[in-house]
Amino acid sequence: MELWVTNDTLHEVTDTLTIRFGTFVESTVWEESSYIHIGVNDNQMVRHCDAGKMIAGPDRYLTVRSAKGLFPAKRHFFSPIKELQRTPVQPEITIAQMGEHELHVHLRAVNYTYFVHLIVPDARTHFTDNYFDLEAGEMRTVILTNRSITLTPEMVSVGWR
Amino acid sequence: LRNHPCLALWCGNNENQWIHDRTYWDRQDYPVPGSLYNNTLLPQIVKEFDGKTPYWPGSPYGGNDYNSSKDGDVHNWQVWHGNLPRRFGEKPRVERSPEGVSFLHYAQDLGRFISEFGMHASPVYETLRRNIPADQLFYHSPSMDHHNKDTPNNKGDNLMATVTGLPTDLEEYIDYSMMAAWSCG
Repeated sequence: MELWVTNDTLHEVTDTLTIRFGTFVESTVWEESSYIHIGVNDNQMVRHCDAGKMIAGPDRYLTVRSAKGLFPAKRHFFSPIKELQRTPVQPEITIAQMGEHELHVHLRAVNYTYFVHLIVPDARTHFTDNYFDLEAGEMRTVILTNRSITLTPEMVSVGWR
Repeated sequence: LRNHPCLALWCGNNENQWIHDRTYWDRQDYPVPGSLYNNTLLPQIVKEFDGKTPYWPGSPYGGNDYNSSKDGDVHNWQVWHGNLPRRFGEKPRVERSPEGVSFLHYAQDLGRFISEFGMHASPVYETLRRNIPADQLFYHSPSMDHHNKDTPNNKGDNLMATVTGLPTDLEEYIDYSMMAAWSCG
């Protein structure tokens, strides 16, 4: 496994990346961090991992996260979705009404939750985020706004796989 | 448009040379229609009225054949459509099995500039509800297939087969087709 980072900005980038190799039942097989310093319009292989260190399989996955939040967390599965050995569980969902036109949807994954998506039956609704994965225990708040209609929690449906 | 800051390239057309060559692969006596525009008039006009931005005769273009990975730009339609690499004069070959159209082929793509790639997927349910009669809201219904312009319109099934498995209802079709497209990105 190799991790490459591309800096397509016009300034140098420094960050600490955390690479985690884990299973779908919230156990970390190993985790390590790498400091990166990448020049303007440059790219680097920032981590090389021998195959012997990773016993890949359909019950596990790899993630990389940026300490500074320079990019959304990336994940890699070692098998097609249909072959992953995992048990989808409904995430915990709390919806707060923030006025007539805004809802805050708080999500917390009980187990690894794939393809989390929020749907409101009105195309004018804006979502601050949508269609993402959540690792076990991970939380995220999505803000829904719609200036054209009154939003109510009953209008929101949450899907996942 | 010539003063637009995002303008990187003028391109003569989309896929005219490539599709003509694939269709009439054994007709060396049949030049590409529009060659006068793509190869002579348009580059002259771009040079005269722009003078700074490069011109490219078509997309894809360059190499042997027009969609060669060794020169110019590439439309990767091995994924989704199963088009296999070829050279001028060779009969086009297509492999549309689930494995043949798999996004895993992107790992073998050595193209210099991939100007088209991807796969189609269903829109969200709300869009389907607004455009498909209520009694036709099921996977591969006549109305759903009518709105799917793929040829044949079950071609996309093979995109899902290796990733999610085939859907059994509309809800699964919406999610599975998106998940397959998500995997390819």
